[in-house]
Amino acid sequence: MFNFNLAPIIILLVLIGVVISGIIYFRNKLNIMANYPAQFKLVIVYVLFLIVSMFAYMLFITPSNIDEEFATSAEDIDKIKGYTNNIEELGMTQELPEEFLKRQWETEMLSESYSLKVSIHSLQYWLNDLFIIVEETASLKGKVEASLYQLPTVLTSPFITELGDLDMMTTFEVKKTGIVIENLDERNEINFEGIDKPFVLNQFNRNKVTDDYWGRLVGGEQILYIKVPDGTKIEVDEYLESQIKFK
Amino acid sequence: MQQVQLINVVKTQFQYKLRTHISMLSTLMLYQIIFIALGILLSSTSFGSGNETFSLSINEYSANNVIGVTMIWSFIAGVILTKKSSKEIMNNFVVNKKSNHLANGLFILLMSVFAGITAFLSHFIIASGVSLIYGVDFLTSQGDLLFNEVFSGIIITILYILLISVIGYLLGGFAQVNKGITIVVIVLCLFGGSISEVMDLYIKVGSFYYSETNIILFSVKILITTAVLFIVAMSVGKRLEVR
Repeated sequence: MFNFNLAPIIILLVLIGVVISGIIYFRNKLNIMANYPAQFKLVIVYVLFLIVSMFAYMLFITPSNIDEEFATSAEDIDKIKGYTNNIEELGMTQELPEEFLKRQWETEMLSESYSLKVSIHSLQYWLNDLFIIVEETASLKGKVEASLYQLPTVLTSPFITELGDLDMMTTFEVKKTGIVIENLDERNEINFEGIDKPFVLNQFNRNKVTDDYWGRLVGGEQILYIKVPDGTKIEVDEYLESQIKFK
Repeated sequence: MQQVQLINVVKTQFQYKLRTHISMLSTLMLYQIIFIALGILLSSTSFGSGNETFSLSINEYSANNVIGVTMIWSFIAGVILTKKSSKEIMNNFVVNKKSNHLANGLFILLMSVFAGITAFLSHFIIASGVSLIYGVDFLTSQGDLLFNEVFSGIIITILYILLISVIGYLLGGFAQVNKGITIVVIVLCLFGGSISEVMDLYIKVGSFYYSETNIILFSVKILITTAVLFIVAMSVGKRLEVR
């Protein structure tokens, strides 16, 4: 349930111990705060504790420190960006990579005048964009081949770093600029915990705040690649009409 | 010679106030600890998204609630300093109004520094708590602060708290003279937003400070405003009886 990372906690406790011991030792020696009530001493210890916590966080816990484990080359970063390239270009001019194939089926056609109906509901997609590519080919006689591809989901953010082990069923890669999730065969859950900057800094950071505040979810698009015999009439849901491209 | 005596009187009063009002700081400490715990346990914003094969949940945490409660506390502390009971504590001393106000001013300044530092640094306790306690898969680190941001953040927080506590001090001073003025101000603060002219005034006054993106100019604005409000608070007290 809990994912404790013991090393930083131990270091933090040691640092706090050193500070408190120092206060107790020097208090008597230098007569610091001797005339002040116990509450005052408590307040001072509280301030020191917060200061030590700041240094401990910056030195041992801050994600930028963890980031280096996942530092990737410029090529890797380009690869991630490549996934989010123009889908139409990918579908029309290139063969879709095998690893993106999600489902494939083949249907016998009853006649040459068969109307292929594509329904949005049959594809069970949610959130993702759907692109339909139709290829008419003379080699297919009385058959329809349909393949559903799903591109990897990419979470882009310069801020994302992994903490601890991720218990995911799917293949994923952590990059400095985000996460690439491929082969989504199982349902997975990813939990992010974000730390906001205190609001008092907002007015001085306005120019730096972008729309990609925490990161952005891109990709995960589905491509339905349909091969039909020449001259087949295609019928689609009105909603999907604009998404259809003929190869 | 007279100046030196005033400084000595102020110094003595300030030290005495520090001892007698230390419970204010320890009370703030207690509030902050409670709100730090709440800040770790409860996320300020949540977001969920996903598709058929995976879901994404984002919880964001911040020290904003700690800073918020500290600001409220600083207002109340400013008011408390003007209360009759607070003045009666000083009966053991040979004081005049000027030295009392100056000692209060010093105390407000010290209180604001303490409150500002602790409120802003609570960000790191919350960040550490979230990082270490939860089974977090990924941490979005947009909240990471650079050293210069820490220092500027502490200064900005101190300045906001100083301004709010001086406003509290001024209102407390008004309440000593005439409670009606305080009631009018409270009513205006609570319900004035529904009157468009008052709302426009709020926006103008707020944006005068909040739209300032230069930290030096912002500091100058706050310090001048604080000084003016404090001088007004001192002059308000002149009408009261001399002890």
